[in-house]
Amino acid sequence: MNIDRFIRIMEAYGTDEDNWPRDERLAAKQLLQSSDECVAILKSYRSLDALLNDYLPRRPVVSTRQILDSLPRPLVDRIINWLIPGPIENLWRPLMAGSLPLVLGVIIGTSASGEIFNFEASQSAVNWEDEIYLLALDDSAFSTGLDNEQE
Amino acid sequence: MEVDEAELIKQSVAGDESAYQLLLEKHLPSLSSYVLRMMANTAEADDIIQETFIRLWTRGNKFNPGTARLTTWLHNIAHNLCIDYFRKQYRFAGHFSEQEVSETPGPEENLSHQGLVKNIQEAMMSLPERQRSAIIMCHYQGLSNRDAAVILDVSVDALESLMARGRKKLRKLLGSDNEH
Repeated sequence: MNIDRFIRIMEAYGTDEDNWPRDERLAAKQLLQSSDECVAILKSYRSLDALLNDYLPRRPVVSTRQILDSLPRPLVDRIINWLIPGPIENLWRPLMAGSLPLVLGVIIGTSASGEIFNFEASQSAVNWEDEIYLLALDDSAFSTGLDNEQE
Repeated sequence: MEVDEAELIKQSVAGDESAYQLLLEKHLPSLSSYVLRMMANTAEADDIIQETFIRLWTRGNKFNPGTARLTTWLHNIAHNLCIDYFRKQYRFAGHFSEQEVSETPGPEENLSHQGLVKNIQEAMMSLPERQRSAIIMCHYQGLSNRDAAVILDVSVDALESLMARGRKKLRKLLGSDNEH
């Protein structure tokens, strides 16, 4: 470390020793302690750092929650969010996700049962047709009997 | 006990939202500080902050903990998004519009301080982006010169030149040019 390099560090990194290159920090501090010229150089560069330290950024508008809400998610998660919006989604999410296969099973099972039911219904409709046919035969036999009595 | 950041990144990449949230809470203040200073506190800064962290969620698998720290990787993304934004601005407007510099007047007693801050902000915004970015990363963000050089894709010597030229211009603009 020499004065030229010390000046270069002041020009590039400023006067805050925490910002100086890590591998040269100790040497620069030792030179500063032993050289009045370096102390004068450091003082002359201090005003810009004081100004820069006054430049504080505003608070960001975007929050952790907003970022979490804006994350792209799988379709199932989006459906659950749509079905159950709001803070309880976290509580019900595992339950809903777990119950999805059950719900699908119930839907498939119900539609299969429906077919059986319809089959039975169609069978009973055939039976009714037989019944009506038989009744019609009985009725004609009955009416034939009456005719015979009148005669 | 502090959870290993590399482990959190693995969990986050696997879709663990609580791990991602821990990373987000750790890095959001620092990243916001960088982007807001780069963008002169404009509203677009918030979009860039948000986009940076969405990329951590969607492209976290591209981060290699063996080659860089997460903060360096995030600064790199944020820097590139800022540069992309400025390029679009240049394309459509020819230059960065001065009206876009945020003007938020504070209480009356702080007017002089606000004026000073506004001057510094304008002086910073007048620097070329790479000089501004180099100064922000090394002066405010606590990044090492090597990390900053990696982000700007230059050598450490070139980084020092960028900062020295930027600081020289700031001294001239802010009237603190009484150096050695």
